[in-house]
Amino acid sequence: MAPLEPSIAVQDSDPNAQLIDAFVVPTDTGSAVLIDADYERLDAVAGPFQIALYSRLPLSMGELAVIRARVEADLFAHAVRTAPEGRRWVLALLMGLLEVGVVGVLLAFLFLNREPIHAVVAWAAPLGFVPGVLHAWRAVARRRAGGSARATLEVGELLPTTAVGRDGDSLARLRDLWRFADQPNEPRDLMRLERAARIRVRWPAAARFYRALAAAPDASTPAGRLAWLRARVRRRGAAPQPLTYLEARSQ
Amino acid sequence: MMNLACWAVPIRDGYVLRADRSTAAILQAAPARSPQFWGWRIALIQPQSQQFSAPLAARAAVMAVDYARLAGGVAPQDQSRRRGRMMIWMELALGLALIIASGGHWVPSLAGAWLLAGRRWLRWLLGLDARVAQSPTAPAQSPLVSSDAHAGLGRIERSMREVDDDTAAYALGAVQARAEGLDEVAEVYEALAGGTPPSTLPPHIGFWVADETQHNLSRPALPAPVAATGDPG
Repeated sequence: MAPLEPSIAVQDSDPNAQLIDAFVVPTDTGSAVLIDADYERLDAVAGPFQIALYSRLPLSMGELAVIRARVEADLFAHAVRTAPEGRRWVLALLMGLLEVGVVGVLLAFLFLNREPIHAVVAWAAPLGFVPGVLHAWRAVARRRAGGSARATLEVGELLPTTAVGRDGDSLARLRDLWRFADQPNEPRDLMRLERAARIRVRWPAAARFYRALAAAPDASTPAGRLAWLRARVRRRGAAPQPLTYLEARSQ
Repeated sequence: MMNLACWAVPIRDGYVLRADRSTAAILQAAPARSPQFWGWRIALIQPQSQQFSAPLAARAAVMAVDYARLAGGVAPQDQSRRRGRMMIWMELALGLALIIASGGHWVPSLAGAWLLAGRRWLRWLLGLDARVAQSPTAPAQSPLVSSDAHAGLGRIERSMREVDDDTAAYALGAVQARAEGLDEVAEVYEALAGGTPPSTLPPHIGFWVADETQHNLSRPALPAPVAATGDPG
């Protein structure tokens, strides 16, 4: 068994690392961690993944380790879900065309042999055949996302170190959001923060995050400095799911 | 290696170790990952003061993670599987209806047969519905356990120290842990405040590790935590 050692503190990012941006953003009762990254755009072949932290609050090593574990869980669970998509998309496309052919011949037959029973079948046919066509469309549309997820599973690794976020735009957005939240004599509520993120800071991911937080059953976040443990995940194009830490996507 | 987190929750006479909730999801995804990443890098999340020996803590952390691995978690695809099953039943019903309504014509019969079996057979033949290959995992490397101080856990420990009564201290710890957003920690304190002795805690709540005074004092304690992060924002 290897001896226990403290982890390495936050450091500069690995030159080849695929950065996953984590922001400590203000909430109505404290602050929370917002992961603003599109996992499907990460390229595991180009280099390992690393969390880039943007925070004006100093985080302890333990807090960083938990954020890392939560990101790892979400990143690879997402990869497992996405990996089957788009595999053998050419064959899926051919299947879709075959499906269109079958339904075309069927509808032509029903049109040429008009009988009352055929009218019912003609109306019901799309229910049976549309899913097949949608399968093919999805396979073609999601081929890159699926390929990226398969690469993540094959060679992807999240580095055990956390980098200091150095992107100027991201730093400016975070600074503006905190400046707004820290205004004296103004209540800090989620609606105002969402409005500020959307209009003033122009940060769609943060706006979605605040909206999801406000819509959550336990709308008020815990009073702690970091509330990410009792938060919600909102994935693009999907309903909010109860999950372990806050996430939103920039696009 | 997989980055796992394990909580060392401070109690009166030692610590309760339990795997972070992310552990189940990480280990569920592990069989789909390349075997070169099957090692565990466990970060032991603890308050500032460490009283127990390194080997003991490492063993308990591995045990807690292993319990999470064996206990598993909620299958993430339940909803989509239910939807998929509904679609299959719809296809079967429509396929059967087409064959019955065909009246002997080959075109609707063929369309019905396609819906009944043809589509699924061809998809299976082409391997379009194949899931991600999964192999049974076993940690390929010995686990690496590191020690990381958690500011919130430290605050909870300090405030509990000021309360003499054990039950009251655990109740205070539970309230503070909820306020900090540390639900795993709160569950431990709630169980202890409810009167469960640490040694009989159920494994899904955690594993009790007595403090160093009850073990070998000559063993090295956990190293001191490293200072917190910088301030980029």
